Amino acid sequence: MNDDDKLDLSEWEVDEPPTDFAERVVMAARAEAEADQPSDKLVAPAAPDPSHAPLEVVPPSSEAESPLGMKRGNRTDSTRTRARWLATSVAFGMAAAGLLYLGNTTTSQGEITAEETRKEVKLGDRAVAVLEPGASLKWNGALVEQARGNVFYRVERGDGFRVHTVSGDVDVQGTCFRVDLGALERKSDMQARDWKMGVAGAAVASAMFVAVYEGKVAVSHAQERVTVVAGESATASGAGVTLTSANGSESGPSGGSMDENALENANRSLVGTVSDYKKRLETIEAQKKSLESKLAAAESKLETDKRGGDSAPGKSEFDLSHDELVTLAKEGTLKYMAPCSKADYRPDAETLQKLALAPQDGDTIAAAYKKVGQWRESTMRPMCQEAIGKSDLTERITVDACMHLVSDLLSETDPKGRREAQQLAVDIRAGLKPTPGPNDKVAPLTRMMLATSQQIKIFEDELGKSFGPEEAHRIAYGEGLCMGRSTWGGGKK
Amino acid sequence: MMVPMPEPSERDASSHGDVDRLRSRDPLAFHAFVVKHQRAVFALLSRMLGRGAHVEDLAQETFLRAHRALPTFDPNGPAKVSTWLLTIATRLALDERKRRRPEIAADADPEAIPAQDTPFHDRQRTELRVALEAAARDLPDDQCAALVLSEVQGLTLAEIAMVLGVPEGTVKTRVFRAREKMKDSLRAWNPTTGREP
Repeated sequence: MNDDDKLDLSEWEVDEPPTDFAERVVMAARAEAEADQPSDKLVAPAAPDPSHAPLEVVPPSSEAESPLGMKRGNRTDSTRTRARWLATSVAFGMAAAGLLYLGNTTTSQGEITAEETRKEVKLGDRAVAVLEPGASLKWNGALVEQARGNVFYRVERGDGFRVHTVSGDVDVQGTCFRVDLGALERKSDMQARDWKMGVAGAAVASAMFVAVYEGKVAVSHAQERVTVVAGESATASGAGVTLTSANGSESGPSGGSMDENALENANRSLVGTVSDYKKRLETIEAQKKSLESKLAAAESKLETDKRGGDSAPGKSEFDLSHDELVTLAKEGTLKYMAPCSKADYRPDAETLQKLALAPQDGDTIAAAYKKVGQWRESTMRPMCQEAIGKSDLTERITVDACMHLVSDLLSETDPKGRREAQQLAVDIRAGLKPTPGPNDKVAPLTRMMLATSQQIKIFEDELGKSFGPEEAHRIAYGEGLCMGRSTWGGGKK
Repeated sequence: MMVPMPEPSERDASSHGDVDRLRSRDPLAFHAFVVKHQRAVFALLSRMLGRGAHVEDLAQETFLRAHRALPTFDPNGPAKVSTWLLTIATRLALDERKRRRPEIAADADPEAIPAQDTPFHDRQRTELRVALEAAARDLPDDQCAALVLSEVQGLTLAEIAMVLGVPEGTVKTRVFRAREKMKDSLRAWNPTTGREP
């Protein structure tokens, strides 16, 4: 081989992404985003800053692998474990691929770290956790893994619910309790010494303190299991599980010394928590009053508008008039609303009530969604395949995603053509240019944009067969139905 | 009209509108972003770390980190979004190489390739693949990253400099040295037949 030869690396094989990789990543990103959603109190994992220092190298750990792969020392296994749970959600993700971010779903899995302030997070349908600063946990359904810190849990009655920590597990069925993995570190030297004696040399940070405020829980470590009821607390560590009763007496398999101030500390902490909740309630009450006042003003204005105004009160910003379409066309902006692509969508009772519809109207609306879905597949899927070729990818992704993909690809290969395709679509939509015939030469992206924005009309027409045109229009643009809303290029998003 | 799938080197430019949708965490735009870049990320990770389940894990981690950081991505900054993504992937791969070094050195033994029932040509190709992987594995981390980004991902020296956070001159040196070492390793792999990769 000459030194000048270029290296031939063609035989250097690579792994190919699995066909559902993108869906899986989007689902995982969605799970993270949902973990962020309950309020801005939640802290997302630190975002990387590629422009600065290299990422931290995680040292190997001798600690055992946890159920949710929280321990960082066994990174590959932990990420595989995560991939396994993500894979479980892929089934749902694939079914609802077109609905990503459009529907309201429960945060059934995720992770959260309270960096400097107290954080509150809903763990699925049944539980709420309040994390003190420094605490970190991860959850998947009824399984929580608490990595560190002090966390208060409120769990509604139901099937089993487990908090796993490095020092032991807490199993509950419906209760109110606190798990503290750092209590010992925060004690005075004297207290800490007592604790250390009590846990028979176990690592300070690996002791778990559990205080129960309502109901009962089972605290276990290895083969030991102790039931802890309201008013009691327990400590689990390498030395076993030790129970502290309400009157301060101690018992437990290890027979070690107790955390004498545990209950007192727990109660003090509970008082603090209750006080915080009261303050929060007062704030919410004030906000409620303010909102009620705003609502009353808005209702009054609405009534006034109904009586004499020309404007259309409550009109959706996506319910565009001809003039508005022309204005948008001048900006080159495509703005549309379309029924979501969830095949089996049916509005729930609350949504129907908000739309002033009867429960049986849900069937009509569900049928209209199905009809639009069929139209979308028969009309838009071929456009997608025409644009990027028939492949496994174009069979699997939603037509909405396909349109984005076509747009992205075109932006790179022919940005001018991409802009022209959109401009033509908005011009046609505004009636400024004639609608092309099936044999006219028009960019697939233009056809896809026109078809996408036409979906709401198809939906409305379908509803109109049962409700009449005016009512169908009101329902289609009403609040609460599963809809996707987009604004492309220029204009207000 | 058939829209061609862009070659890796053409995948860099994204319009501001696209980047804006990504930065606002539009899920459909993010899906398209993953579809578009997943092969490049898998290729980079496979070549820096060898093939295996860890590639998918780290590819997923790459995109999740990108998703978290997208709102802070500056479309007017010096890095294109694809280069920025490869920066994340490269740094994850470099961290993983450091963490897994003993493990990496131990696997993929060329002697473990089954000799029987394998056509000669296929066996040669397999051996070459293993030799390439072994040669890359033996490269210092910084040289391996520079080589993969240059020879496989087709990045320019300026882009690699941005990814690795070093001057262009350093990149040039690293790529040159990596190429020399790869050539030496591959000469040693098949010195008798003279077959050159």
